[in-house]
Amino acid sequence: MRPSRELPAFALLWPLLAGTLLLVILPAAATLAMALFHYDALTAPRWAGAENLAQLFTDPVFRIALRNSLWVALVAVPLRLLLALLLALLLHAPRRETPALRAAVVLPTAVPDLAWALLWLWILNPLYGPLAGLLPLFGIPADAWLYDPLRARQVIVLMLLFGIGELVWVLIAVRREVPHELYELCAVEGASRLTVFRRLTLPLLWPALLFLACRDAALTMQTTFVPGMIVTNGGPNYATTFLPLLVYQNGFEYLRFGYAAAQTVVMLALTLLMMVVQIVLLRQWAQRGA
Amino acid sequence: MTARLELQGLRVQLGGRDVLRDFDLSVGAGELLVLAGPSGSGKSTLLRAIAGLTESSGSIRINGREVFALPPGARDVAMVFQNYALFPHLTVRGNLAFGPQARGMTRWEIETRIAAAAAALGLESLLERHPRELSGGERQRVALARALMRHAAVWLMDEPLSNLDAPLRLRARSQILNIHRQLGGATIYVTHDQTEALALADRLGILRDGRLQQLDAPMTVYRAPANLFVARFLGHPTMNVLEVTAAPPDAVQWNARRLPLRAGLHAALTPGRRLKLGLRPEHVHLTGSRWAPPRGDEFVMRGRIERAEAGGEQQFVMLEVQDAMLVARVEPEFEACPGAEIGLSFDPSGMLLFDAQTEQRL
Repeated sequence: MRPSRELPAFALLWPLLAGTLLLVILPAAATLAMALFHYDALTAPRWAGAENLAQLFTDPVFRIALRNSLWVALVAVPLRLLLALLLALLLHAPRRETPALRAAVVLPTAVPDLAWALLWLWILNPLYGPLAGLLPLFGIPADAWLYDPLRARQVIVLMLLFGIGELVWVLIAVRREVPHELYELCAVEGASRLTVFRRLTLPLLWPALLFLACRDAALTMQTTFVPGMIVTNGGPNYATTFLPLLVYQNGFEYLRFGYAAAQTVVMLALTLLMMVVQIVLLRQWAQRGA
Repeated sequence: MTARLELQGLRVQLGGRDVLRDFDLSVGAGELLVLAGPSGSGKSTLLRAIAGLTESSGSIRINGREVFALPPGARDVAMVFQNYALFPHLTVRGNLAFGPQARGMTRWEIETRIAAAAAALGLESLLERHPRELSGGERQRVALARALMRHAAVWLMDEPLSNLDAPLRLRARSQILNIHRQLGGATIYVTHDQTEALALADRLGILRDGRLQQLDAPMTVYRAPANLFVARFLGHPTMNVLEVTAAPPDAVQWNARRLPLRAGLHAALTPGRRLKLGLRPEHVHLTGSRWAPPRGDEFVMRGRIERAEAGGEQQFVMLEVQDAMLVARVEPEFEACPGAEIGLSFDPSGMLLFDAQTEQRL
């Protein structure tokens, strides 16, 4: 008898499928439904129709949060990828010191978000924080991030720049997949380091970079939540009120679950849109490059 | 013939171990030197050292110029890799143009060279394709064409045909020979395939553990191997080797049997000396075979047929003779019944004598 190939596959997959259904798909569907109601968890939900969605367009705080989230994604994602690429190219070759260096690169990613945020509260403390102590050397007041909206957002980006362990890890793996003969051929042909990077390394890492950029854009929309809440608490003057923080405040602080759900739906749509745009753009560039 | 490539006292260490030691070699312009040897014998390492891809010490001269301190790109060397090393994201044209572009050649010059290289290897219709759209043979030709783009003084080929199937390999072989003849560069061709080695070589070198065992015309290496290792490396099936004792003045003793030797070998026969007698399968004759000489040799002995292996235009018969296993080559029509007794004789002209300890030929 030929063993069925589909049955064992399903047997192995069902815990994951059940988990996805229970923890992702059902809540997402519930959110979608909730966006159509007024609901405060104390009284029965009332039908709202498109009211929640319409309110978003007139809500100035939502517009600010949207802009903040996009700003951070736009600044942080390219910087994160650039930094990860640089580190991956430095650390892909097995040398005696690389294991320690790789561990150092990955370590910040392994720190829980909350612990990371609390650590940065100390690093940035204007009275005794090590980074805050250095800022005046560059002409920046030690407490600038507490009142300057731009500085506050820069601090959030700076925090995000350390959690690139996964990106580096993936890029190292992809770089190591490139056959070493291709590099030897470049050497025999007398290609300069810049030529090798521009015409060999970058094109072959491009698909991975494309994938990571999409994933990172989606991720950055969400990972701003903890730093925005713990380190800057949405301020100053809403400068670090990002979409997930706004959703949290509307839902769990103001008990406007319907409105929060509508914001979540917009955030999801926005994330998808960003990924599509990036895929299209980067594919075009890749084709032109080749 | 002027030497294009000269190696003197070349030494390569990998992981603290000597892969090549005191390596001397000189290849002339227009010469195709084939280096053969089992894997791990240092063949590829030698090529990489010449190209400058591996650290080495000693002297490497190309066209009389010491290139030892030069980076690979400045050594005037073209290299063909075993797995072709084609850039997957570039078309055939892009692959061919890569090197010249990197060296800053003009667009017009590059186009001229691409046209010439593509014509030489029949790649004109494939120029806009990517490597993944090519067959193995086509990829191999692109790799060859790319090396051709560089009018290099020295060509290094690292098993360029080992990923091709047999008929393609035969065609590619003649293409390589043609190109080599046209360019007149010095070529070092590395292979572990003995048929390829014998077919292509002007001179054939056999490598073992980083040392050159013999360097000679291919048929000389085949007929007069320097030692037992070379004798066993070339020829298929491998040479028969009998453990014998010298029986002066004109024979050796093999178990109970006396085997007379041809006159040239008599000098090595000091009484009681332990020797090894080498005999290729074509020098073991079976009675009744059409390929055996018509006259009966005086030392006919008897053996038992173990089995026969068809080899197309020939047949190999495995025999048990005096507790030893021998292989004989006969015509394909020869009827070899396993278990049957048969008479056999050795061709004295094919006998090679080796010292039992040093395994050097005497």
